[in-house]
Amino acid sequence: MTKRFKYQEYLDKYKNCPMQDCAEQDLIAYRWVHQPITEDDFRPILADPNQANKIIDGDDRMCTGYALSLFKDANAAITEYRKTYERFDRPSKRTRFKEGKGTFSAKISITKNDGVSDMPKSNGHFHFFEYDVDSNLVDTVSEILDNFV
Amino acid sequence: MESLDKYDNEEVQLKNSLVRIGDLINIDGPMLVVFKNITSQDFYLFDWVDNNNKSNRWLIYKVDKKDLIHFLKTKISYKTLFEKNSSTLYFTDIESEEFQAFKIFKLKGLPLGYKPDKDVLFDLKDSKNLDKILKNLNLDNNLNGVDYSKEYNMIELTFKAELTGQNISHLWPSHIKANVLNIKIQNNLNYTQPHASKSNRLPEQKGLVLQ
Repeated sequence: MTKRFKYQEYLDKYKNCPMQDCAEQDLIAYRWVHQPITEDDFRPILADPNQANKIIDGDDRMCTGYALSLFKDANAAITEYRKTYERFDRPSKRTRFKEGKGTFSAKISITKNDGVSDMPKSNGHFHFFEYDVDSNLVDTVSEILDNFV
Repeated sequence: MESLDKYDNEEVQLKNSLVRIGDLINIDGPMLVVFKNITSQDFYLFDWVDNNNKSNRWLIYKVDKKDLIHFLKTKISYKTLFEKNSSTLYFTDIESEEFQAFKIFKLKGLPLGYKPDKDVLFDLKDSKNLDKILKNLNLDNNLNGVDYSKEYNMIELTFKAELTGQNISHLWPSHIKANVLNIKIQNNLNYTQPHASKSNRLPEQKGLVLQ
């Protein structure tokens, strides 16, 4: 039986979504989060109720906007967070980035029953498309690191 | 989101003349977007500065073509580009659910938090549809002495070769090897192999996505 994804109705609008090389995997990953962590920290950007989608035209709604951004290890998560933060050239952007993403990285466990993910890019970032199941990724958090320490 | 009290309430008739060209910065969606006024042929920038749970705020201003080219060639920072070109500033708040219905207003004062306070240079990795921006600036895909059209062609050749089981990466000059690899990684080109079979179509850059 074909498994259903969270946000399936949106994924259906794109060709090859999730991407064809995504696969079910048991893995450890890191995710940028707020402290305390809530379920909102595990919502894809286009499904985040706390931030308006940054959309100028229809092309800004992409398949991967309905995936969670994860990193393969703590070093990748924190390094990419700091690099991205340094790219923001004004106070308002830095403030919104910290408010939107949080300032911590959480270690989580994903099983093959939770969804599918693609291969990490050179910066350690990868996408995770979550199945529409009862499991809660918040409950799998085993470590929380401060991105600025 | 900052409250803006210093602006003209009358809508500026600019929106319908502007056509989106590409994104100079795309991190988690568009952040610095190049538009072209199809009437005057002037270039405009949409510069994301703020948001809340309903809408995103953009500063809008006309940008001198030479300054834009200097920014792309990393001769000036974005802070300098902004300071040289933002004597007349507009803004719009775009609601994500009603993104086609936005209105543009003239701004009379800029909140301190919206002013760039550090020098950040253009980075190819942050861009999306850079080839379209370069084409509109008549830059012939050449930035900093690197011809991106050749690099994109090399990507296509590489994928055609890969599809037939060949590896031609040893033919790449070293600077192209580094940049092609970079572009390939950025674009997740292993997902977009159909581009490789369309010899006249260049892969579009997707920018960074950090959901």
